[in-house]
Amino acid sequence: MRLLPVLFAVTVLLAGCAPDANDPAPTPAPPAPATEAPQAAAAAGEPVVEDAWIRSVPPTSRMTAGYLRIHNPGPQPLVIVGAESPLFGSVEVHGTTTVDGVSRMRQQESVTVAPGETASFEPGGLHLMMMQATDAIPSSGTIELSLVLADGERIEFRAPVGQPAD
Amino acid sequence: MSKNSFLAVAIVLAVAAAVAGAWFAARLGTPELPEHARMLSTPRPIPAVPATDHTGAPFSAADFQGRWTVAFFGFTYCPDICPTTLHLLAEARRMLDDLPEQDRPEIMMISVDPGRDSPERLAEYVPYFHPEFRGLHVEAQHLPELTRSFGAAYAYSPLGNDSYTVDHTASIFLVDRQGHVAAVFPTPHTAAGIASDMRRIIELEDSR
Repeated sequence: MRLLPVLFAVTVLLAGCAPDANDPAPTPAPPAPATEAPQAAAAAGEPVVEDAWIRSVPPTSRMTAGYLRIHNPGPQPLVIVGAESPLFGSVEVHGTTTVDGVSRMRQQESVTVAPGETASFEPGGLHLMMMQATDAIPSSGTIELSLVLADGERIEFRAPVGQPAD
Repeated sequence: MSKNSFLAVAIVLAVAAAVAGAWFAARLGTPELPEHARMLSTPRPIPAVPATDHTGAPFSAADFQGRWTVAFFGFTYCPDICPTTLHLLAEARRMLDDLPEQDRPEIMMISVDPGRDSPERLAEYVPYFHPEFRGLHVEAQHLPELTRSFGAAYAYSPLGNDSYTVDHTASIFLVDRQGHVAAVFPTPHTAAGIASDMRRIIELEDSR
């Protein structure tokens, strides 16, 4: 579980740059042993990526979309400014809005998850737009992804490729 | 039980049965209106602009006649809304597999990105979601006339350095057997909602 040290580092960093020193921020719990389940990370105030998935697309497509939920149990806002994947030349955070029946998709400069909140990246809303696939996008298995935070830290995770659960 | 009270119970039961029977008969006689789709009071004709489907076969407005078509506007370089809609329409279409063949709607994606979506490109993309789906390529100069007749809009918007995306109407349209735009499914969509409304609309049509 190489994710955990990274997550712990994020928490320490966020706690360290708290704007209000008198803020009664909860003391971060000691890092969970590497063998523990991801739930242990939540208890330690570290951001948790859940239910991530990548849409399977026709074999000739060079782009797809990734979806996930991210919970920020920490005391500081979590600011996502980008994403990366070794299988794609470019991954951007995009948002689709539908106004008066017309859908528009635009790149998002950043997505902020307030303390205690969960952001949902879901079809028809926020998504990771994964472009310039270096090879055919696999139709099964998992793909490595990382969310890039404003402070330069990364949240790494793997997301299965498939269709939405019906 | 006395003879009189037996009679009273029998009368009450008879009246209840008659009311229930009449209610069911009335329900059977009047098909229900669709729940989500908005029926157009005056179905709109579709202009005869030249088009090519994903197999390379020519397609014109007259080809809409004779069967129902569920049409939406999209493009293959669309990672979010279009595959979401195609996936949902494939589900809705499977829910209608029990209908007689002449009632099963054709599902069509009309590309609003003819510059990138050649018929070949559409052939690689659209049938992936359902083998019977049809992709339609309409040349850029004819696209405004066609989308206008549906009441749909599209616009190009730059994306990154040398790419672009297409803003487009996400509503789904129903073309009737006469080849007219007859109903609009506004967003948000569900497969079950579209399938059940399709059944109601077909029943309405058949009852006329």
